[in-house]
Amino acid sequence: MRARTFLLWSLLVCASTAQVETEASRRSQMQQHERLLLRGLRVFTLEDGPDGRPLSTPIEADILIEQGRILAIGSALEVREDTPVFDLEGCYALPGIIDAHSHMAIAGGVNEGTHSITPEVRIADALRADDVHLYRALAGGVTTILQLHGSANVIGGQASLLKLRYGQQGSELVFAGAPRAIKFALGENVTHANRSERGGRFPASRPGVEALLRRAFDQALAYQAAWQAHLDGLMRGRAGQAPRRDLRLETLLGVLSGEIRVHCHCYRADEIEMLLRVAEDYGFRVAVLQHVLEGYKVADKLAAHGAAASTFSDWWSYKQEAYDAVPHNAALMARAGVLVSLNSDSAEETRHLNLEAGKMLRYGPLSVGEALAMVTRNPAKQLGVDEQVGRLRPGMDADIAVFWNHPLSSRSRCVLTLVDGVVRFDDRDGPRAPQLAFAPQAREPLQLDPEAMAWAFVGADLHPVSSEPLPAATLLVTQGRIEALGYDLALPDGTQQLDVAGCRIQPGLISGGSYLAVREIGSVAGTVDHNETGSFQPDLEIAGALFAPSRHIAATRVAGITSALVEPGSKRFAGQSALIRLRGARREDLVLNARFAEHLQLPRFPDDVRDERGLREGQKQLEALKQRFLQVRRQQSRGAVLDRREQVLLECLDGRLPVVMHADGARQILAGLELAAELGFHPIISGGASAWKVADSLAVAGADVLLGPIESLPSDRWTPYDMPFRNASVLAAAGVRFGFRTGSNWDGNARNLPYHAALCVAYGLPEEAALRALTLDAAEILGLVDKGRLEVGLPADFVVSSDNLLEVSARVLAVFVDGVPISLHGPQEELAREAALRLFGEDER
Amino acid sequence: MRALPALLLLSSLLPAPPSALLRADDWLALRGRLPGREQPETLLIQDGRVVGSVPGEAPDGYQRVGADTLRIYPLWIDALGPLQVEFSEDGRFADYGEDKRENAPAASEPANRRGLYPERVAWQALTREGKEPAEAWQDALRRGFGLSCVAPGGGILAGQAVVVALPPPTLREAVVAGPPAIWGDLQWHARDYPSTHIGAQAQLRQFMADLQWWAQLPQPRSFDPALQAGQGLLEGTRLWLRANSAGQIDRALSVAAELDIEIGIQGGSAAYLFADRLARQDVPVILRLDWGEAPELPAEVPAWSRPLESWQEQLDSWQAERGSAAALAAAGVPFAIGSRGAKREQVLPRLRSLLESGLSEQQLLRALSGTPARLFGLDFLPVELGAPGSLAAFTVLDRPLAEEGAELRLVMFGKHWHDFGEDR
Repeated sequence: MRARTFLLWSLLVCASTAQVETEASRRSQMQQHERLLLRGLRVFTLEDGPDGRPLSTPIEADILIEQGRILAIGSALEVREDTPVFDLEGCYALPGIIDAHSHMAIAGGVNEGTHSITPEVRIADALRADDVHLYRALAGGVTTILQLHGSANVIGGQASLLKLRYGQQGSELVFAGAPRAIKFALGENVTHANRSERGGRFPASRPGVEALLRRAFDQALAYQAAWQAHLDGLMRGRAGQAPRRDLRLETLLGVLSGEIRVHCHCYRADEIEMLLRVAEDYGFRVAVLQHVLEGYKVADKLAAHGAAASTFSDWWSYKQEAYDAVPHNAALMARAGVLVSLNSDSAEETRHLNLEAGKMLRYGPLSVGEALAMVTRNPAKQLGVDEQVGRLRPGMDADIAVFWNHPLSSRSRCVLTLVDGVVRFDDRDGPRAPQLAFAPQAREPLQLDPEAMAWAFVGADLHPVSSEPLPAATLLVTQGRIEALGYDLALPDGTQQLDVAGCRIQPGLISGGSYLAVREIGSVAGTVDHNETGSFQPDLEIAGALFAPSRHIAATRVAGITSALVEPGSKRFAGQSALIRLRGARREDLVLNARFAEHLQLPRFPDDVRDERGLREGQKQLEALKQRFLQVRRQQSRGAVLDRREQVLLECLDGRLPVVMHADGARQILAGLELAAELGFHPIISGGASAWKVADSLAVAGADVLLGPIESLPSDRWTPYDMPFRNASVLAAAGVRFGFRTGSNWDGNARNLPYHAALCVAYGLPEEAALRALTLDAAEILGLVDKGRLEVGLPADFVVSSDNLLEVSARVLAVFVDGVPISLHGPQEELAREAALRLFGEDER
Repeated sequence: MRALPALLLLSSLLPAPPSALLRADDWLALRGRLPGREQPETLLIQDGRVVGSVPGEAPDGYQRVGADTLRIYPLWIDALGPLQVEFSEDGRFADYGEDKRENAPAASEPANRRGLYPERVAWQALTREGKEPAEAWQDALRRGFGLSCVAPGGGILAGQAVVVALPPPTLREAVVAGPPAIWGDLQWHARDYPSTHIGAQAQLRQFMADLQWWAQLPQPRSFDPALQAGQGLLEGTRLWLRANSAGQIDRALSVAAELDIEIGIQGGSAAYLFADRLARQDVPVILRLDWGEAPELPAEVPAWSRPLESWQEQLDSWQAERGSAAALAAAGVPFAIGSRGAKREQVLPRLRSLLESGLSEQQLLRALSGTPARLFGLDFLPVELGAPGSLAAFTVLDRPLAEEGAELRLVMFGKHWHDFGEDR
């Protein structure tokens, strides 16, 4: 059964996917038509509905485009015979996505960080129109980006608003007529809090930041007064010497007059309030607070000031000032009357901003229309271009993104993007998931009675993974184990029956790689324990440093992840990983396996076949790595005493300790297979970004892959834009077993593991394969014998969700971790609840 | 003629100079074929000027050089020659008026001219002293260009160039023109402000504002050589901006439009993408010959490698860039040629490759002579090759430039000439 399915996938994948992307192939998609009809769409216009909120239901309609603008939206539109027609039956159209915070396509430095005040610099001066990230953003439905200056200075440079007319020159990308904007920044970046040069320049503290702002505006006003005096003199016939023009101060005057909109990078509530105070004292309005991760704490003040907010959906903990961030932030601010947009600040994340919006259905609750508005209409308003873009209506620019499934569904993908009516991205024939209905349920978490003798979850679709799904069945849990699953079960006395009709129950998800509990705040060294100095540290045990009170554990398990591999850092011999369950007050409560595997970072190899020197160097390092092991074997055979480090290597050689080899490059992966074969390891590859290139070799070697992070950029400009998402399909088609990992860059968002898998589904991986990789396959690779499936007698380790867990909108209603129901109310939920109580007088819990 | 035996005698007695420089103080007869002529002819040259021509041999009294097979071209001008003058950053003017730990002034520092040095002239740093400079001059001479523009580097506004004659008898005599132009680079950056491209452009923008302000200051005003020298930018002095990639050219053209200044492009690899816009904005280009070798396609690639298409894409791009000259010619954009960065032995083959990429010989010769002469204001050069009374200014090859294997035979500029047949 499985083999036949693989064969089918294989045929599908091969028939419809490109393995190479070139500039020529990108540009070949681009077409310009005087008129164009998009037929058979479900159109989200983002116009207001009767309740004054953006419409949440799409209309069935065609869209007619003429000379770059929308001419008509309606059903069965009649057009001239020579009008090209794109048949998009069943697809969804929405206004082109607008990313209000980007640093893509900037040449020669994003940040003029040499001064604390540089408003005179302009991002538009250094555009890099051939940045392939622009194309990749188009492939995610993005049509407009706000390019912002970096955040190393309190008053940074002027922003640039671009339309992604990829293929044209930089000056042709500029959004004509957009209001001027400038970047300010507060907090850790401008005070150099996390940099060695802290204290080398003013300001080095938050009070210093405020003082700097006030001094700067005072100087600007003095400059204005000097000019005014000069002009007054001229009016009176006194010809005096004109003051020197100072473009820096003139820009600040533009801020004070409101001509230039302030976008301010900020995090903490106190600094947000400070900025609003300063602005009000000097008589200007802060247009948009960027990041604003603690905006939820002072959302009422934002609303009163009239400041909009542009934030991330769920990033947190990468800095001290991001530690109190909560994924409910955007929705709470919106409820308080703040105009909110979601942005990426990342060339990778911009490619799936639709899914970032989808998360709002889960963390909100917000309506579909409100969530979509956060990446379309709202940023358009924030940027002052809402009469041109951000909605779909006749007369507006034909900036349109077409998605195969509902744009807020994880199983959706963009298939067509138009900017000014010009097709800039077209992958209508690409791989994709089946077209599915999207009906997110607004269910509240289940109230489990802790006194109950047993819990019966009645009416849910059970996905045991190890066997066929059971629709509308019952799962019975007693004494921490699965007592029964099926139909017409006899329920013991004292059973709490929970009606979960229409919901899903699946095994707890397993992360194949994370820094959970060993990396609390990325920028605070004292909370980071996964990295050690040196390169030969095989005896380090990450399990010894697990920090049980970590907020990450609570934040991750409420997304349905119940077990995880915790990795050591990225050194050649990095140490040993641990397997943890995501519950427990003490370190030992977390540990499932304190010594899962030794982790090796394999040498890098060039990807250029002609780079003989680089290949030789890689081979040399590989040989050195191998010799480390072989030397231990020789020492052992001579009866020499082995030190602790060598004993670990011996365990690996004897098969008593698995070896996980971190490798992303294709040649690097092959080197890992070579090493494993020579030393007798079972090959487990972690990372595997280019595994698709060598899937057959992986299959032949019987290798397992801990794949990810999937939310990654292609490794070079010739790797197709969607290859990170299609990688899993190729492995599946080749018969390679794999799990998913979020890895090092996503320590703050290990909770997004299911969405990494979902992206693979959107680009062709069968959904059952994705779920299996997240559960049973991961369990098998990691040796978790009683996890990853729902079977009678196994510890209760499962997730009840309102919908498929792969959907970003799915709500987790209950989670059992290794036999114990856990609270879905963690520190982040508590922060959100407290804020809601303050803002709205109601308890969000 | 009378001086020649003495010179030859001297050269036999003394160690040979690095360049076999000869002086044609008197009468010289140069035989060869001029472009567009069916038959060879003999140009009669007296005191560095053409006095006439005859179809056959020169009359008695002329020193005879050349042969029927030689090709006489108008003197080539290297619009961006290999002699390089790189000025260092002037660190005298701090960009902070006070201790940067005490305050961050919001006003820009009026004295901050970092990267803005239009007052510098390449002449100031030009030297023939020492082994390396001497070799550099020799190298420049052997490229076939009788005049070479020495442009400075090292700033957003790096300074002014000079045109030197090759071969030069003395350094002072070598400089034949200081073109009224400034050379710049919007990609220049410093460790301190401006450290980025956006900073560099902002610095230039402020400088343009300062130029206008300073010009109106009543006397006595502070002495500011940069603002003094930069005044020309307000009055039409051309700013030659280094720009190779599409982004750089686009940026340079946008700057010109915004600041209302005359610019030229130096580099111009991606100029083929901008031919129409360059023509519209009337922006000349100095195309450089310093491109790398064409990427070689590997015969086959293993699964782990970059795809074959990646090399093909690079090759396509490389070939497209080679078409810039032809594209500019077709669009009517004036362009010249600069050999900086190319090796001496690459110059003639690369000029030939321009012909292979679609440029006509006439267009190439214009790029090598007439256009740079006009751009640099070298009005002492003859408009019509070999016209009586005109300066003797020729580059002579042993066969037509388009022919494989054509080699440099002679360069003549007025009274100075160098026969490469002697020491090639």
